[in-house]
Amino acid sequence: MKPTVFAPFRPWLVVVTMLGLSALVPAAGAAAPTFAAGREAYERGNYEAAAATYRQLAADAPAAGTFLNWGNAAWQLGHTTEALLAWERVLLISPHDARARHNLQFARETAQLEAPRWTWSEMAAAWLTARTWAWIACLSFWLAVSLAVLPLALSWRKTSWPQAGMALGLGVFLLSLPANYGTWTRTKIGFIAHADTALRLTPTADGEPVIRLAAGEPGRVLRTHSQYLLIETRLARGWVAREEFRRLIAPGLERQADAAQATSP
Amino acid sequence: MPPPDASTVQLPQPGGAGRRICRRAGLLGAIGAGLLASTGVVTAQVPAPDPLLQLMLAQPPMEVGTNVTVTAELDPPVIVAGGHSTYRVTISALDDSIRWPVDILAPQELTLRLSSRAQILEPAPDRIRPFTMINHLVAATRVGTYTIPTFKVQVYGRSVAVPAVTLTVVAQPSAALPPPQQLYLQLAETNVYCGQAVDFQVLLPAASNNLVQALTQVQLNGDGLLVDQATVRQRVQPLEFLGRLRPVYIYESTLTPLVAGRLNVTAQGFTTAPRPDPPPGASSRYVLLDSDAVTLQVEPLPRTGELPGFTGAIGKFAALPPRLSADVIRVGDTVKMMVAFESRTGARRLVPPPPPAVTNWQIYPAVSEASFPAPGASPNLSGTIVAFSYTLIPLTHHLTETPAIPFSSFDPEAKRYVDLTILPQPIRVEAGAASAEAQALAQAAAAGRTETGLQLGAVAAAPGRSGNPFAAPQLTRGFFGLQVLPFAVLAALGYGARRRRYLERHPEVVRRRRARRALRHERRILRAAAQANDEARFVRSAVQALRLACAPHFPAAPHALVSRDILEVFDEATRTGRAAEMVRALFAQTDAAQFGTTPPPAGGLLHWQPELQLLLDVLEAKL
Repeated sequence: MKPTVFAPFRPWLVVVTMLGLSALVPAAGAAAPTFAAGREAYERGNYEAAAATYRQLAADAPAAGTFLNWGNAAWQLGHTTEALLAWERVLLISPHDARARHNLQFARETAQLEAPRWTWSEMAAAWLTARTWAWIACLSFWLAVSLAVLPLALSWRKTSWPQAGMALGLGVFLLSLPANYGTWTRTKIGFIAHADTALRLTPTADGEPVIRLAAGEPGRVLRTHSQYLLIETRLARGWVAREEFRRLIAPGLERQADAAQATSP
Repeated sequence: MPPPDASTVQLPQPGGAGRRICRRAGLLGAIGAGLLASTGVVTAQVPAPDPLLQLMLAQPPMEVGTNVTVTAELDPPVIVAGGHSTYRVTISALDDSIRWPVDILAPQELTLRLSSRAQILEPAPDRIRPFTMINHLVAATRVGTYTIPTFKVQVYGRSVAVPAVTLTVVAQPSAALPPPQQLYLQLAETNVYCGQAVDFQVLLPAASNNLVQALTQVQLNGDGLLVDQATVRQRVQPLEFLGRLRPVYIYESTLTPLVAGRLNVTAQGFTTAPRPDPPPGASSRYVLLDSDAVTLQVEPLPRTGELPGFTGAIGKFAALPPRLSADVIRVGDTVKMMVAFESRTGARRLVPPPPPAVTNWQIYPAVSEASFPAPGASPNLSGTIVAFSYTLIPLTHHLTETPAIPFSSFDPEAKRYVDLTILPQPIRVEAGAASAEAQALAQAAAAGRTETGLQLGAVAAAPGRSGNPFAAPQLTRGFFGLQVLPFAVLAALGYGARRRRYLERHPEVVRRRRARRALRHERRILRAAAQANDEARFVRSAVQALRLACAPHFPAAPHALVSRDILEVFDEATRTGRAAEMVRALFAQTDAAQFGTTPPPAGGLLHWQPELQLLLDVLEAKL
């Protein structure tokens, strides 16, 4: 047999290929939850199992349908906040998902809850995904800057299209700024986690309750202090413990706590 | 009943303030009359006097801030050990002006607890006197004589003394001891649900002489209660009370607990009693009585099993057949539907269910009708018919029945919700000239029906669009760090353009750079030729190196330079020295090789290599 240049690497090639394939193919022993299994559990009326399946799937491979079904299962279990968060997160992935909008309207009408009071910049942010807005801003900005720099750098012949492109890029960038700002302020929106949660006058466990709120009542974080958040709801403003308020776009550590809480609502 | 142990303190009257108040009232009347008179002068017509102002002026003045009298008494002054008496303090002042101490200094053997407090206005011939009475329940367990000492309270900002009273506690009850006069509170039920109406009676039995006293300003004390003042009834009825039949004054109404838990309820009210030292024309006085506390156990309504149309009705109800004001109507006409429920637990109020949102009917919210006792109901009023009416307008024809109106109540005995839905009533609606408003309402109702008929959506069949909902690149530092990349590219491009323009303006820089590069290359060839003793190649490279090194100084093409051009680059000393000789020799050898007919003789030029290297060093430094 004629030797080839790959001949000395053959054993390594086999090992690397095997390792790559083993990474791609799930381990045979691990029974990973599947979307179909969750749906089957839901249709059987086993909402606990369905919610657990979709919760796991949402953590491993988040998708709009996963969050939608998770919300449905949580709603059937009476976990209002979990359901509202799941459906709101569907809209973060797929902003024009009619099913999630419908379910949110249904849930709020049934539970007599109000939708969060979005500012105009947050409403603009909801037109597209956060990632899309980020890249629109990024690309439009660098398009404008490039078309300002490149004709000079590359000694292009003087024409009007770079200027038109620069104006277009700058315009799109400026228009995307409010939406990006809205994306940031939406991180302050959240929902009361448990029913009969006391909104307190001071950030202490013994603080005087200002009002008691229902699960799923929307609020906006104004300030944080140690383990307490100062939130504003449509009824009043007051302090709640971090674990009593679940943010729509939870930052880092809070997201871990959020996931842990979701498993034991 | 013997006169209670009482003492009276008369306050001094500084400056006759009471007379001043009366004078002020008279002055107010004069000012009012003057105003009326002046108005008449200006308009030249005497207007009719303002009846409200006249009524105000006709009121007798209220005695405030003067003649504050304080009396204290124990009712009864003698009790059996383990019994209790009422420590009653009466102050002729407005309630708000009294700063009553929280704790009263009393012997340790006595236990005092505030039981009631109220104010009453007593009419006098020429004025109205306010009286505030404060009752404490005094309990004693040990036989003896105890005195509650005098103490000071603030009334109208002044210090007023409450006189001392003495309580005698005896071991055995005596027939001579009259029972204390007090109120008795009776509740129809004590285990109720939150929001359930409960009938109550406040009883005042007649005294030993069978004289029945009326009650006034009766009120219930306790948190979380609502007393229905519209259903108050009062009567005198002989009852078996405290062991004998006697007339009893009965005050009855309905209370509604508003909070769940244990509620302690007491009743209080004023009655009249003979004065111990009656002034002329006033032989009786008001006395504040109160009752022992009754505990009401209130449970919240169960959340499970609630039926549509529940508006808080609690009790046993039976729906009576609704009645329509007409059986045949035209579109746009109104029809009144009277709905009645018989309450078997005496509830006299019902909150009607809201009209349902239906197509083809416009329904106005229900109007409550007067409740009345059910035929054949007992006098205690359990068995009442509560009625309300809806006004309905058909918006389309071909309707055959009125819409059903969901309604439900909670049965506290069965502990479950009961469906009382108002059933559809047959009716015939004929075509008529429906107004444009009615047609618009019909359309809006139809549209509203589709909007409000929401149901939970079906689950998704596939995961669909994937993405991390928490992924917002603009909220991460890495995203901003990534922007360095295009910035660096554009900055490099900008710098390159600037450098290129600089070189275009300064071509000598380019020539020198190229010359340096070519010179270094040529010198490598030169060294190689010297090492190989290849004189012809050495000479060619040496001449070429000299030309390359000197060409940018003119500037000129390197091959156009001759030895004289090369020597011009050097200073005078070099041009006349050994270096000049070497340059000429090298060029001569090259010219001979290039233009001669015979090859030049070889040998003798390689030894110039060290000096040539030095010369080239000088030339390279000049570039």
